[in-house]
Amino acid sequence: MKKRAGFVFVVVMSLALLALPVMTGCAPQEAPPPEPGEVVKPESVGIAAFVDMTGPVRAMSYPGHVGYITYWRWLNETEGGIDGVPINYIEIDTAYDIKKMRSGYERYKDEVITMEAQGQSPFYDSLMPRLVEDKMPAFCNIGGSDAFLYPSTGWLYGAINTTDLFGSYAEWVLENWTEDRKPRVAMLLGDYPGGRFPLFCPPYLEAQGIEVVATELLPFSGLTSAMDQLLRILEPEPDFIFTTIITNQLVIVLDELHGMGIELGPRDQGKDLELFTSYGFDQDMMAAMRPENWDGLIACDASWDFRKYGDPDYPFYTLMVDKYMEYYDVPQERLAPSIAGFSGGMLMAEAIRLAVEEVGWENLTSEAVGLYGYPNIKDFDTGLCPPITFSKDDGRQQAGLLFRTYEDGATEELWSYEKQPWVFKWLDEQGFPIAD
Amino acid sequence: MALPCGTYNTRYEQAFAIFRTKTHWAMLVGLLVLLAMLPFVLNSYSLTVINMMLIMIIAVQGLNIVTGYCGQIHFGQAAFMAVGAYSSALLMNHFGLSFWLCLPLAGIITALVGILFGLPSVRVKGIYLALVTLAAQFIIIYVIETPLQWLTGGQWAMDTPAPQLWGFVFNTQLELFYLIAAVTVLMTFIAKNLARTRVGRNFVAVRDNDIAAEVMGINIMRTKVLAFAIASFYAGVAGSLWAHYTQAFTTTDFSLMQSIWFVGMLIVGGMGTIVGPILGTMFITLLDQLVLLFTPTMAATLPVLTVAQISSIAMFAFALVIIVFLVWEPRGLAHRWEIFKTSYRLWPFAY
Amino acid sequence: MKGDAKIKLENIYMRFGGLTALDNVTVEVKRGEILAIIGPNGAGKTVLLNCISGFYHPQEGNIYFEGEKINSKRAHERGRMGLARTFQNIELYSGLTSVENLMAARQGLMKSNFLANALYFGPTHKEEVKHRRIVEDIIDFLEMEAVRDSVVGVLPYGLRKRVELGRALALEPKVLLLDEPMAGMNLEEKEDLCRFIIDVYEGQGSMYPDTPTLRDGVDTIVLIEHDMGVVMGIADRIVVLDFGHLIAEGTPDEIKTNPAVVKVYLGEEASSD
Ligand SMILES: Nc1ncnc2c1ncn2[C@@H]1O[C@H](COP(=O)(O)OP(=O)(O)OP(=O)(O)O)[C@@H](O)[C@H]1O
Ligand SMILES: [Mg+2]
Repeated sequence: MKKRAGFVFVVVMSLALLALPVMTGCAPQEAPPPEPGEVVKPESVGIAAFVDMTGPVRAMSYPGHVGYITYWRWLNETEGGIDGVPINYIEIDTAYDIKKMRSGYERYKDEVITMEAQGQSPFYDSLMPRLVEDKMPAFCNIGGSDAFLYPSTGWLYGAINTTDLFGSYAEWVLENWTEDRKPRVAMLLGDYPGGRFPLFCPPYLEAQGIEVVATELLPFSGLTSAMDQLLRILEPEPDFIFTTIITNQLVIVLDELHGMGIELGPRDQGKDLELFTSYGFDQDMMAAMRPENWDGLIACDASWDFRKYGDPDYPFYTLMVDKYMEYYDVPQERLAPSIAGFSGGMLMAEAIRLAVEEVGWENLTSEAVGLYGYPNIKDFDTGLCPPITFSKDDGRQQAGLLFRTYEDGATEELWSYEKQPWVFKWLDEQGFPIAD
Repeated sequence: MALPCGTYNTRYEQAFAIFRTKTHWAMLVGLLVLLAMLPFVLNSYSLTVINMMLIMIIAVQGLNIVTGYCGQIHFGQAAFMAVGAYSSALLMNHFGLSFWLCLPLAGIITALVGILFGLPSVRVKGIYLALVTLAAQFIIIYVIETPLQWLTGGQWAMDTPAPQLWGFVFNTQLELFYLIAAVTVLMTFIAKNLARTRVGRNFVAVRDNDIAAEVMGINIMRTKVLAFAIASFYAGVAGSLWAHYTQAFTTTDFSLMQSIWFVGMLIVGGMGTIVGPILGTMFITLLDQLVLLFTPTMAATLPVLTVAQISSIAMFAFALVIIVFLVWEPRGLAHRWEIFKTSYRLWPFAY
Repeated sequence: MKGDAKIKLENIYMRFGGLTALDNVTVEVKRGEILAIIGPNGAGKTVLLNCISGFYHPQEGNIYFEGEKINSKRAHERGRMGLARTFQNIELYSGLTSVENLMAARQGLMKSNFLANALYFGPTHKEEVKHRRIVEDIIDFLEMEAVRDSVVGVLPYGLRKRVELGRALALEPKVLLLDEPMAGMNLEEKEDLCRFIIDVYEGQGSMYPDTPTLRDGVDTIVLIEHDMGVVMGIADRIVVLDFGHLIAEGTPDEIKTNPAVVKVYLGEEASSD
């Protein structure tokens, strides 16, 4: 009895191992050669999405991902996909495990022409050599910037121009600075592609007359405390903290700063320091913490074009929420990242459209999307933010920005921008590397 | 250990042979040929999976030495892999050492760190030692990320060149497969040798009965620390391979989860055996990949469920398989394997 | 020289909190003798053995082995010096086979380090073969061939006791310390074991020419035993402990007639039987 069980087990294991290549398909299927002159459209166009659905960063990455798939499903149902070719989006649960990310990438890279991964810097870090080698354009969340960045290796697209954002903060800081010495700034960055961009900015800030005294990355995964990083950036006594941390991280940081007895607000009013958050600050977040925690916080609604998301009359938002509820029949979660994902989905579809325009359906490859898709996006209006233009050479300037602060539970508008300082251009002119 | 029917040891040397009969040798040659052929029937995906699996086998083989043989529970093996990965990458990037030096040096450096963290094992046992190793996991990653940030680049990816041998660059999954497979076979062979000779018996002696071991002249402290050092050496070698295999890695690759999975692989495979780590790592990797392969397909066929929901169910099923497994065969797959071998040898006769 | 002090315990005090397990005990184990330690339960016999083998370090008193003071020597160092023992409650390496248990005992006599072990071929292989020969001799001597490749954890009690004796022999000891080797055995098993002890003591000469322990024998044996028949039959000398005190010392005949012993020990033995 036992012996037989053992035998069966070993046989099943070996068969399973042998079946692995079979299941994945040993050779890619060859399409029949097209008739000359006839446009052969593929049955579908593949996009892979690598998302942590069951691991430690699920809470942060999954809502954004839902925005993407909601858009694609909506596109497939209303327009039959792109130019009549449906989008076959393959979702892969990475569980924040590098091994799954790598094997999933290898498994699906031949079936897709571009991919999306939510807030997983280690994923991009680890796969960057592969992306470059396979010429696979990858896209990460677009929070709503009109500038569409071209980051270091050329095969990772998207993200928010947080570098320009820090330029705006610098301008505001200098405008209001009264002391003789230089203002001291610490950077507390979220460890995801968009969050890391300001690492380019210290030369700009120094040139403006600001001292960058500390820089810390806040890990993206299962963060329960930011005390280590906070202690390190507080040690050199900064007057300001510029951040690109996301909502969950911000809640923790504000709570811990409050716990340390640090009061947010201008120095000349007897407060300790001022903290800038880059992604606004909404009713949901206020509900998630004690009011005294966010007193004096400066929240910048970057490039939402001053349209307040969460406004039920806003058509884009309504569409998104409606579809989200309809498709996934789940209670309304935090929707800010999902909205960003929805517009990100639009941009990826647009990139494929542009690549098809350039090379035709028959020659559509991941390389084509990387070379002619994303780089050719111009004045594309997602409805979320000002029209987006990708520009490899000028790293387009960010537009509007609204500074708000919070006092005793009430919002006060501080300052608003039409155009932000063009940090990328400055860096480029000064010969600082913004891409390598 | 039962021998195949009709085979008897007539000399002591024969009792020590791993490959005892002509059939054994034929099987070994067949296996090696199969191993050599594998890349031609597998695609880059399967090779990626197998390459990563082979590296994990080395790490689990090391864990097996300290936990399986020497009985010292260890929840920090992944962090030691990180030490190996960073040492190897830094040695190559800063001193231009060749991969063939980086690999053993990474092992040795990691072994030294292992000695440092193994010293407490002399004083503490069981759950307390588990906590010490858990602390090692956090301390090591913290040290790499923060005090050594100037050297390691902190949380940024560490770029590492591919391995090179006399100008030949191991770049593709196939080339890397041969390299990694060779190192894995070598490390497994070494583990087998350690297990069947003096050191290995000392480890088991300390594990099974430290009172008797001491009376029998075994220096418990030295033995435990040696077990940690060897386990760490394995982690270091695995880490070095990982660094040059991925060519870009971060500390996230060596998370606590990974450490815990190493222990899981070892338990599923069977502690204190050489095939255990191999079978356990294979088994978990396979389950992982089945989840990865089938969730998108299942989502397509079952539109009522989202991929996220299916993934969660898959995780649950995964855990269930392991639990059922442990209840059914707590001695691990290796024990199943032994039973299979015995019944195969006696076939067609039952006992 | 026969008759020299092999082990000497001088004025040993061993206290556990308020309990004095050994109270000013002075014992000499002479080369060439089988010394039996007897006494009622809890008398301190095992504690005495533990002091010799280095588990317990007495608060006062000195321990000498072959004239050398070994108070500060750790248990494993004493093991390597040639003090081998068995335990009252069997302490084997339960996950190893009988052969491996005996091989493990020979580790102190092996020269190879872990680097040589890792390579295996060459010196380690030679060494393994050499020691395996000796171990097989011991297995042959103790008539354990049937269980040589069995994992000892699953062996019956009597056989495990025998493996433990074999493991002590494999250490090539100068002194054999046996803590109730016959406890819990039936008559036949006891007879076997007595024979083994006497055979070891006498040496087997040309029967096992390559195995020094068996060839030359172990000429000094310390035996804790409750079975008076066995003790009187094989011991050259007897030491009697009671509540940590040494109450008598002498040949079996002297002990038999010692009034203190009769009162404390044999009286109790008689009543409990
Ligand atoms: N580690 C220890 N801590 C406290 N007390 C101990 C310890 N070891 C032994 N004792 C005590 O010392 C006394 C002597 O114990 P020992 O084991 O030497 O008795 P024994 O003569 O071997 O008896 P038995 O015939 O039952 O084996 C007992 O009262 C025992 O409880
Ligand atoms: Mg006793």
